[in-house]
Amino acid sequence: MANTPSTDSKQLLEELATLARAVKQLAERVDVPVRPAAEVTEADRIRQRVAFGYQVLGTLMGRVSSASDEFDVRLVGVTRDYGRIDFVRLPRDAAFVELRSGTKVEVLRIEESDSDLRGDGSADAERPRNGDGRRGHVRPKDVEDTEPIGSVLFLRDRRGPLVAFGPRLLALQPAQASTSPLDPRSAR
Amino acid sequence: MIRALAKRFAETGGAREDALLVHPAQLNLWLDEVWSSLSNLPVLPGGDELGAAFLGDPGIVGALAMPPPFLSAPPMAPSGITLDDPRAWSGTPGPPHPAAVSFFPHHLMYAYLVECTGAEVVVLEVIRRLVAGETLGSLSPDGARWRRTTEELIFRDAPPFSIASVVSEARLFSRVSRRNAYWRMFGYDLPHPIAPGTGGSVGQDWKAHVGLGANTDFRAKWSELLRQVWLGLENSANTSGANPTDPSYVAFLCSSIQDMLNNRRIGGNLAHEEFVHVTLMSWLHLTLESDTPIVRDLKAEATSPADRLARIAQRVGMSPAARSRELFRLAEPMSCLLRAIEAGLFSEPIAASALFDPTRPLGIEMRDIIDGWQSATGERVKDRPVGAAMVPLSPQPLRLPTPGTPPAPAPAAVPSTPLLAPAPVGATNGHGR
Repeated sequence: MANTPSTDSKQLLEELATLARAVKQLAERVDVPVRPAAEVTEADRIRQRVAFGYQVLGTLMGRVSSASDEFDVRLVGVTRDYGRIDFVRLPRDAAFVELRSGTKVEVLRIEESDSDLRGDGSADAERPRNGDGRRGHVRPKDVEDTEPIGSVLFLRDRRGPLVAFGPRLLALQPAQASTSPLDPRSAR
Repeated sequence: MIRALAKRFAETGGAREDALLVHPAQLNLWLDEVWSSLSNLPVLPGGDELGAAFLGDPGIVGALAMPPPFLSAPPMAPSGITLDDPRAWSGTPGPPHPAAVSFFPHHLMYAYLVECTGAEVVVLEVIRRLVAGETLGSLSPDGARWRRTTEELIFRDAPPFSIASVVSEARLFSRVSRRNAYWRMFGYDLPHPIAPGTGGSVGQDWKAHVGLGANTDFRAKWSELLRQVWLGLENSANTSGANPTDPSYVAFLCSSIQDMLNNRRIGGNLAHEEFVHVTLMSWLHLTLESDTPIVRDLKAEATSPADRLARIAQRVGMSPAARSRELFRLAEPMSCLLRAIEAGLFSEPIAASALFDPTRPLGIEMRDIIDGWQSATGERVKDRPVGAAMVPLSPQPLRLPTPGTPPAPAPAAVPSTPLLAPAPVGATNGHGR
């Protein structure tokens, strides 16, 4: 059934008013919503990863930052044990970790660790002398102990941004109790 | 490499120049430890496996490394470098420690650019005078330590079986070996000749027997890449009108450079040499980076590495390369960019577009590289044809630059020429050199 003329004009007036408010808001740039992280495009994410990878590269080559902290990407110490991965020198804003093993990717929320219970935090030779950094751990489900982990990335949120970088982790061997990433005996 | 160690000293609360105080024997052992750790390079976010990209064949590490227990068993010993005290020996391997990320060595381009400044020639003359007499005065204990370590690390043969050894009866001089590597990887010569008596009597034999294994078209492709990135930076703020930026072409250029450099690395070629050369040059770079003990001893305090080098050179009657300021500034960014290109970071158009995003450090860095390259080489990579008839619809030329045909309009030098005009390094040292 067709609308009556009075209903049509009322609806039209409402739409005109909405449009006018939108034009005014746009002109004054008032309350322009900030694009939430969820709306960041895939292209943005790729570019962010590339830029972060470049910063990591500079950091590990020993580059000195010029004006800001572009080449001071935070590096996290990581050790691997059966069913568990431990972190030392963890930045405050690192809430998630992304583990990449070949094409397999697993993102996990980091659980806080009691620094007195596990690991070798007291023997962490590269810890800052001011004792900065916290400890944490995850229990991977998709990545098996027998699979090497090519990259360990730390994120503020599940989808980014990237905030820190960790070492490559070698696969564990069946008879092994624990491993460090530089222990060649743990290589498969 | 040494600057990476300096960074770890600084990160743990020490000073960067602490790395200059480590004993040369420890540094030598440490290089073997770092070499072994290269077998465990991580995957870069957005890139490929770094081991393959950096080394050609990751198996080269194990092929040349000492068996793992050898370095910690008598009569050998671990480097024992401790970040809390550079003069101490901890009895355990130095950084990277277990659980830490490996070091990434610089690209060979880093060694080339630092050596282009003439720093190695000047420092050789300084050492020669320090050990021959008292014309430079006396040194502080830390200065004497630097003198000894520099002589051991750079100007003498490395200990047998050390990874730092690239000198033998087959290649008599490390500076000739370096020129060979630069020629093969980039088709570049150093701007200054080899001084007589320091390897110069062999002519230009670093080019002999190279065959087709020299990237003589590197310069043309590199210049074209900078030109295209500059185009992207210029047009990054465009919100209307034509935008000639072509991320696909930039990605294509990056892939071409990646392939070219990777070709020289097949089977792990040049990995060992690159590792040693960049280490030695980073020692010199760190020496000049700040007013270190030897800089103070030589009364060469200044505000930049180039100025310190110029003052030190002046003390021994020499002058460094005219563009050493740009060369020092370019060394690390260019090294980092080439490493990233070799790691495949920019092989896709979307990823390549990060190169001309002026809001990120990478875009800012590209601007600096373009500025530095243009200033150091005199190659006008920012210019484009003037006049409507000459402005192309697309920035991409018909074909990729080929050897001997640099792209218009830039008056690029023939690829086999040195990066810079010959510098007067070594010409006025008062010894007939």
